[in-house]
Amino acid sequence: MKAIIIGAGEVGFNIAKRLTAEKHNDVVLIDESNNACQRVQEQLDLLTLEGSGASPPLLKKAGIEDAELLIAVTNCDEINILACLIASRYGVATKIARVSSPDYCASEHSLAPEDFGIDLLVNPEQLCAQEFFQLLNTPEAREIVEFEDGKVRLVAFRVKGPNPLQSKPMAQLGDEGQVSGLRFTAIKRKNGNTIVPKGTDYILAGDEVFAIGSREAIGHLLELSGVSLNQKLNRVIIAGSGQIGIYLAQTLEAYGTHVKIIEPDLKLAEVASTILKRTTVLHGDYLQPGFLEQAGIAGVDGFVSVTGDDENDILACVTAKQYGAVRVLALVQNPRYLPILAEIPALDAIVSRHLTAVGNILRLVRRGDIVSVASLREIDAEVIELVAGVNSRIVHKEIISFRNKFPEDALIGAIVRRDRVIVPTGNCVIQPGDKVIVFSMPEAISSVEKFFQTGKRTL
Amino acid sequence: MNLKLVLYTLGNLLIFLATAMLVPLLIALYYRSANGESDLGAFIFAFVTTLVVGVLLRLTTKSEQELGNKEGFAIVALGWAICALFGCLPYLFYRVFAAGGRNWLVEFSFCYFESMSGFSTTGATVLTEIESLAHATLFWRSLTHWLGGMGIVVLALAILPMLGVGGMQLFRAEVPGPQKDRLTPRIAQTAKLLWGVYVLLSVVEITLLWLGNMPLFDAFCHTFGTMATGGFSTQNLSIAQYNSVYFDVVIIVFMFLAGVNFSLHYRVLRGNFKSYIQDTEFRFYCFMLLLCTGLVVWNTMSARAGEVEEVVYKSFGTSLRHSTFQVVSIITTTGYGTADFEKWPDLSKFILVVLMFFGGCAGSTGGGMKQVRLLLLIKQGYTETKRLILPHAVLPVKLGTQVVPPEVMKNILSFFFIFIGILAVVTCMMAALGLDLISAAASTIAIMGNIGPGLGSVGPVDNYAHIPTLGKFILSFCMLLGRLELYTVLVLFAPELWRK
Repeated sequence: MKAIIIGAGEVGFNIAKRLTAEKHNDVVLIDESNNACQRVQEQLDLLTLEGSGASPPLLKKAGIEDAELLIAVTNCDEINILACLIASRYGVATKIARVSSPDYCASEHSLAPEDFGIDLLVNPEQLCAQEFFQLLNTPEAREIVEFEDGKVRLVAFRVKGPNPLQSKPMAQLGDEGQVSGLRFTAIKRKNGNTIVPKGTDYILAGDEVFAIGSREAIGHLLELSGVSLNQKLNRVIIAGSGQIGIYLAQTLEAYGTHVKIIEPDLKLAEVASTILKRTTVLHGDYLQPGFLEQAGIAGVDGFVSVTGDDENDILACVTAKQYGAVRVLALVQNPRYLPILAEIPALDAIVSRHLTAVGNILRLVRRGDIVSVASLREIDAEVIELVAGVNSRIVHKEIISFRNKFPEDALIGAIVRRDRVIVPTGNCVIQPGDKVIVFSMPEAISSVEKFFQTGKRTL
Repeated sequence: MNLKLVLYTLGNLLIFLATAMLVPLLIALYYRSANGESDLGAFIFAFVTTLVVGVLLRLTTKSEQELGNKEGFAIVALGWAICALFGCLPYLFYRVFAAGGRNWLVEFSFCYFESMSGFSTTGATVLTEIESLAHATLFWRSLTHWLGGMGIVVLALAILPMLGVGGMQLFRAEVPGPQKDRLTPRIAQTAKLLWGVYVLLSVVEITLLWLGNMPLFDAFCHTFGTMATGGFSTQNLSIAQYNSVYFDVVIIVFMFLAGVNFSLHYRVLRGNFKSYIQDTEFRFYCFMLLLCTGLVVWNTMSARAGEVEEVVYKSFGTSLRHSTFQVVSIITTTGYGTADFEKWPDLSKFILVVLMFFGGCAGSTGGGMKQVRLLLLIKQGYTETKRLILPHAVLPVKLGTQVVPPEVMKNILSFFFIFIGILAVVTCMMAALGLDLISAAASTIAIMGNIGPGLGSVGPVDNYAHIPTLGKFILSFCMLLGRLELYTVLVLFAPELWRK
């Protein structure tokens, strides 16, 4: 497949990396900055072109006539939209644009994405806001990935204090029916080691547990580990009234939560107060001593810092936790911070703008037998959803029969057959057409894929 | 730098080279009965040695890591040196240069020189008597040209599905020219296309030569020499042996084509015929060619030279034929000859020497500094002059409609400086080894530019056999420098390359 990506930022780079990893994809990347082009060229096997992604001659040079996929992810909405418009004139099958401005996204206005030939409109700010809302709404969850419209969920949560999960080895938990309809895919121990658990392993206090299963089963698991799911989000404080802050406040308003939003810039605060209806907008420096206390941080159900300044966001979250906020979440822009942040105990969860965008775009870009991919933030692992083909190696066999050959660093988390979620057991047989959700360490992905490849190799 | 990874890739390259040796091996088998003594044994030994070393390297240093920038340079530079080393085994085993009283080091210097001259497409020979050699050995000489012409590492890149990102590093280190053209997103695909064009043109030339009644064996060898802009012939007198206008014309045309950027050929073959005209470098190359040919024709017909004080050519036709052949042969750095330009008047000789510096186009199989560099140097010089008069003017150096980035310009300026610098130093060395000034300077430039024949004692009808042993090694190194355009070889001497 030939793909053109416009914008060599963090999002563009990561998508290109994923696409070039497949031998049969040809990728052309366009960016206005020479430096960005060179950085990509050093690391990936693709063609870079320097210039504007909305320039028809340049797109023609990039081979738009026979491209099947165009992903426009520059920081400029107009360039992204225009690029998709040009691409639709050339008959590119799939066009994806990153669009941040709510003016272009709102569906009630006369111009719909289809008018520009856009198949998927990705609004990273809105996606981040959604992710924050999900995380706020699922207490204790540090990461949530949904598959098949939320039927299957992967949740990461930290086990606190004594609870029934700790008393028995994991196999027994399943046998005695305390947890059913899910699989434990990984455990990140307190000392930072990540293991793919076997039946004989115990869950310990302080572990971060990754479990995959049906929505209901996951909810049940969280309750078992001492999380009360009926907790209502009564009060939430948001720091920063940027796009994400506003989207999140709107979502929470609709949910019935009392929202306070803090914005250090008076102009922005005024803008926010005109957009938002029931939210209280406070103007001031949230890092100033006493300010958060005055705003009523003690006992607040959630504190979300989304100013866009990574250092300040993290600091604000740590402060809020000290003053008694129940759950604190931060937005992270710089991907280099991700590995360190898991080590800060005060932070309940983080959302990364670029990973969210990459994940959502990749879900749409089908790579062969793979339906969707999600990279986990908390640990170096991926969750991939694959379709079993008619003559894949994996079908018509009991899972136990190929257990020895299946890569050690990967496991089958769930199977979706028509609308039913099946938790795989040893004698379960995968049938053609099943969607299989596999949890895998990055090294094992290619060997996992081999199990799903259909007889003919596409090249 | 990850030395293990470098050795692993070099192992692969040697296995590949061993496979290439099978071709002359089969030829040796075919011509075995023709004369009593055969070079079959030499090729079997060379094949086995290369294969065994390659396989051993591959097995002992298996590595799964990705190639980086440093490894890319090291692989290409060392790869060429090693290919020449193993490529000289057939000469060594067949005792081609085992004349009376030569010790092993002297004999090895002959073999290595000949082998490196082949791979680097220089075409300078240390053979005094070519025609008496066995067929397979002659074929191997020409085949090394052909492999080296488009780049042996690029060929490996095209055929072996071994390299992804690292491929770009190798491509950049091997393909000549200041800015590399990437035809397709995947580098291996680009390598395949370039080699495809190369093979196609070679097939056409072989057919044309064969149709003109050149023996098929000779047609193969001369095509390899032409398309790679090498210059090894199967005849002592080079192309002059045939004395045929048809062969001259065919070879002129294909030398010319081999000196053009192969990306352009690809675009034209895809149906974009304007590519040639639109390319600034191509137009400049044609202009230089016409200008120099015109001057040489005029000069050889009007100036009186030699002891007899006569014009070299009386008829325009003969002058045009030989002048064109020599100018094209030198500008593309091929080095085939139909005439002894040593006997030409001084202006013509000087024009040829100047052409030796600049060579073919970027992305061609030709050597030298490349036309595009000369063009950009002229433009840069003009721009600097203009800047003195108009201090506030914005004066970017442009190639066609594209602005040349300042980094590329700097790279070219320092390339020019290093090239001239090395030329001066090596000329001093050659003079110190006892060559006269003309021969010392001409041999250096003819070797650095990968042309082959120079002036003086290394002129078109002479050879390099008389150069002292140390001189042969120095010149072999210079061939490598010229072929890989200095930087790729010079980085080997930067301590930063070897640090972890």
